[in-house]
Amino acid sequence: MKSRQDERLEITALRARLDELNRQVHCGFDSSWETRFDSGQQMEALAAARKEHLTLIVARRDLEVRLAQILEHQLLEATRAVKPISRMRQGTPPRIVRPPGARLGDVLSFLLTRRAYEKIVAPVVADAQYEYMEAVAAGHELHARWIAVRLYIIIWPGWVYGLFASALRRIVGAGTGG
Amino acid sequence: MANFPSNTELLILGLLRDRPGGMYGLELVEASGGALKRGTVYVTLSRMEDKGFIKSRLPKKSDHAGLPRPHYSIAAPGQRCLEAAQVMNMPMARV
Repeated sequence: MKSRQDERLEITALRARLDELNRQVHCGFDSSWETRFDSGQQMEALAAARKEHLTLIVARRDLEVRLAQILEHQLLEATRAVKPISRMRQGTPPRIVRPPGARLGDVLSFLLTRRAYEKIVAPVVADAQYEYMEAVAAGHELHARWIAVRLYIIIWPGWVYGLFASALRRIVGAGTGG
Repeated sequence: MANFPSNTELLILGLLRDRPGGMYGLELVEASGGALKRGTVYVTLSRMEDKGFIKSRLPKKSDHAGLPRPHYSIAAPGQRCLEAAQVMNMPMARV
């Protein structure tokens, strides 16, 4: 039976290989936030993935099998990070999800001005996503979850401000525009 | 002196001066030893970029799953301000 350390080393090596192949593959994907596949469709769905910034969540015991399948089919644009979940039962089909803060960022890009979003909010989200993926790759699930929670704690003032500013712009715009 | 960097801005300029290749915001926060906060550092960086003290570069594609991270480097006006601050012996400029 493999130790956690051996498993982490294998994951790191496989991730490096995934990253390398990732640069060579172009796939298409629908825009749903989270998509579940049955085992028969998953490889075709991964082949269709066009969005780059996704995480593949798998049951920890299936990790090597899943990664081997992905490598064999050379389907990598959709799987920049693989997240093994201990509580998932073996055999559960993998899920593809976006990294933390993706949906939050979409909402704030609508509420805030473009400049405020690009200069202030997007970099904070990007940093958190980077740290999150690093923690996932290292196998630190709890730390990864904390990073996701911390992102929302940091961002909420911007969310409140954005709601207020957006409402104000609409009121002022309606008042002056007639 | 209306546009002279604040202490926080001088701190950032000092950190960037020591890394000619530039730094990410997160790296600045870590290098500052707690003086900069991850939630507010980009407000300061945005202001400094408007003043011309630093430059930022955003890669079209990120090297990780997620949004691309902007990369910051010191610009010539920032370099001059830092040198002026050192001549005036301002505390933050000694970083």
